[in-house]
Amino acid sequence: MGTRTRRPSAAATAPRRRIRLRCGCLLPLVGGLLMPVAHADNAPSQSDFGGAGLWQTPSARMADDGEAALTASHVEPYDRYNVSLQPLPWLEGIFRYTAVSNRMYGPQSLSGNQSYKDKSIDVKLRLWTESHYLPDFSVGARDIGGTGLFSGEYVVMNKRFGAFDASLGMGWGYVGGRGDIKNPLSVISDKFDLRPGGQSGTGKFSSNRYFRGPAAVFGGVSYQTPWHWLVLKAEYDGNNYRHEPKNNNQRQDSPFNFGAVFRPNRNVDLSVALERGNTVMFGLTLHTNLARSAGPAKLLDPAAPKRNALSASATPEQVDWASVARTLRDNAGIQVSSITRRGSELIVKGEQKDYFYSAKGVGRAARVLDNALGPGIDWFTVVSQQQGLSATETSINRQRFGQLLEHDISLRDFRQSVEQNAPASRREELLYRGPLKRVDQSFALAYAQNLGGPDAFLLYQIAAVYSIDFYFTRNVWWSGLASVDLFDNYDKFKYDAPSELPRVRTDVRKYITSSTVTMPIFQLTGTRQLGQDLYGMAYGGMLESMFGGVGGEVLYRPFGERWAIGSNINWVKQRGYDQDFSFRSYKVVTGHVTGYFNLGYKDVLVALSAGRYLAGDWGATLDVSREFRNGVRMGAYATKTNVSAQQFGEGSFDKGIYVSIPFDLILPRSTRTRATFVWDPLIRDGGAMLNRRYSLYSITDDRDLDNFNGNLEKIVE
Amino acid sequence: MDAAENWPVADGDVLHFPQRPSSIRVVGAVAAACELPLVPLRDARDYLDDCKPSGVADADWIFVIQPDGRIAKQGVARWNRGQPMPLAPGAMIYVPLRESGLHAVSRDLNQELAAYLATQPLGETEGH
Repeated sequence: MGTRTRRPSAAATAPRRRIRLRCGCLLPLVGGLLMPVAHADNAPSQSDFGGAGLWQTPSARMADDGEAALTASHVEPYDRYNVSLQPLPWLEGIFRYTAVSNRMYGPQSLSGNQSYKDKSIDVKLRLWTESHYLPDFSVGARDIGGTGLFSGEYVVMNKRFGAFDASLGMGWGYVGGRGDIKNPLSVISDKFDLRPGGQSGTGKFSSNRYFRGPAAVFGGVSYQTPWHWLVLKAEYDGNNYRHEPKNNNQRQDSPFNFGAVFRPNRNVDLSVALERGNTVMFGLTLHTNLARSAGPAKLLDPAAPKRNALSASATPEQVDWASVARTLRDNAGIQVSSITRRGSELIVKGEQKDYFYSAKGVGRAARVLDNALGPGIDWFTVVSQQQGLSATETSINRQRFGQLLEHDISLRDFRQSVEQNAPASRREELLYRGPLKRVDQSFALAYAQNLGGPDAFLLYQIAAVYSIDFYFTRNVWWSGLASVDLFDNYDKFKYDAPSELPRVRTDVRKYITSSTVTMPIFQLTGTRQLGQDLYGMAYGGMLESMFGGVGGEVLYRPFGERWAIGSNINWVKQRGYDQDFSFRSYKVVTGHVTGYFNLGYKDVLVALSAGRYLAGDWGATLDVSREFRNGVRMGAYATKTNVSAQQFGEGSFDKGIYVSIPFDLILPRSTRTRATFVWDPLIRDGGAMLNRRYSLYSITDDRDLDNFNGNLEKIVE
Repeated sequence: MDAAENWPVADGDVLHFPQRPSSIRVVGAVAAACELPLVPLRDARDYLDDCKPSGVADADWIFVIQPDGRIAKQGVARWNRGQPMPLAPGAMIYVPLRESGLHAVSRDLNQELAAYLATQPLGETEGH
């Protein structure tokens, strides 16, 4: 299932090899969450719905950016599992599964005894930051365009008085379920009087409900006791539980909910509260700040080469380059394609295979070269290549680098002796040409899961995956992927979502259950540098598990700029359910024009794609993400096409949130792989993109100079 | 000693070995600059009880400048009160001018003044 969703942006589409897990991978994230963080930082306690708040109600507060939290809460009859991300200081996103324990999901034959499940995405924006007199002021929406069961909107403000943090807000929809005051927005228009659609539970009518219908006031106070591990919270609920979805009203003896949060350490919160005056709530939150994680010491990396006490005397012509190239691969992670000389500059071209932080690879390469070469070479240049395309050349001054290693100059002074340029072809004297590594293969166990469907809460599969790339030249290669299903519980998988569109994605069950042995990828790919800033790629074959065909992409990515523009077009045909060489009859021409804009503000990348999707629908996808300095990326995407919300079905439009964590932050060994967790509520046919194996924006990732410059201190590691 | 902090000496460098001070100083928007005895573990903002800020002082923040040159901004109002910050001997508290009055003149004046104060060698104004 891992290959089914793919984001259009560089963000999730992943440079390099990448492990992608879909749909609420709660457990794997825990590993990342337990990384130690030694900071007295700002992480407000979470509400039952996840996100900074009291119990049932949200607050205007935000955690420090980079915070990620998993919150599980239980208050009869609801169990809620929330993933909260704080990509920006003023933006909070939450993905949630809700289980309604006293309602059945579906007919016994399909769902057994499974309780009803609801998935949703929330967004909260802080519009105003607290100051001496003014409060924090935030606006938010629960379940934006989802199934609508618990959807609601709110505005809320917070003001702190010493150890007390008071909040006051107004809610609409579920957040203001009591609905005892007339909507103040009625002043603007009568249409705000009524909240349309109600709790249809299908999401079909959920558009244009925002801030409509009667409202209610909510608020409360959070008290930080003198013991840092204990926080007390009390609130006035905005809901009276008389309009619960699924005809499931609850008795409320008191609108006041109160309880305590125990915070034994930075990563764990335990909560207990009395809600509705008669029901106990238990909550558990695991949280950490991913942006501040530096990862463990790299004990399994080879030690950086010691500088020779006696400087070498070899001229570039005398050096045993084959041996140096081997050392460059082993110690600097560079798979060398060539080594050349231009006057007093020595140039290594190749692909970085090991180090996530390119500065580290460059520093190590410089040490290796420094040990091998006598005087006469003053600059070392490393040209980063991927799939035969050169992105950036980084040059460092040999003498200044030596001074940096000896601590004679500061990193700041050294920075002036580093240059980054667009690789250009110049007259160079060839010293060594690395052999083409023809076969690149790997074998892995893959875990895929689908949470919260009507068949069973957890559908899982463990498969053995064999992957091979065979290179005919550096620019032309064939890729194959074979997968053998080892264990699964797909016998429970019976549900096919209804669709009014060509079934380009909703046949997912048939694709993953029809055959034990599948061949998700069988494709030939070629790349070409069309100009200094222009890249091209063409491919054909079985491109992903559900589609095969031919296609191509071009990307214009000017060096040193924060933007790029690319386009791809594909003629594809739907594949047979067995994922072999067979096709079904559906075919379509699909493609997009994508603009990438790095805003230069907190490394926010906006990728806007417009074009034709797999079901033949036309529309656009907006993907906004932030990459923190350590490589952690958080983002969200949404797609709207010319399919009406009604035709699209449950969910109204395609959307999701994701977090991508470099394994380098988790493992004691340097690696360029990433784990990407995507939470998208539903698989639908509208707004579905072709899941291309390679994207030029990812291949040319090293054109983003921020990774190098933001982590320059790693050049000495 | 961290090797990266151990700079080689160059021509014209002067080595300055201050005596260990037993006091801290409060400067900036105060009625008069104060030198107060250091009380171990006393929170930085509590020193303002003994050295009253003037009418143009910012009501919300102070800058805590430790003798090693590190600068921290500490909230002193009820809405932004943070963790207590004990001082090291020779530390300085810079009471900033009210931010709202500065916007038109120089937005970062307080920040820059604090950064400048942090570069001053320990014990310089006490004479040696």
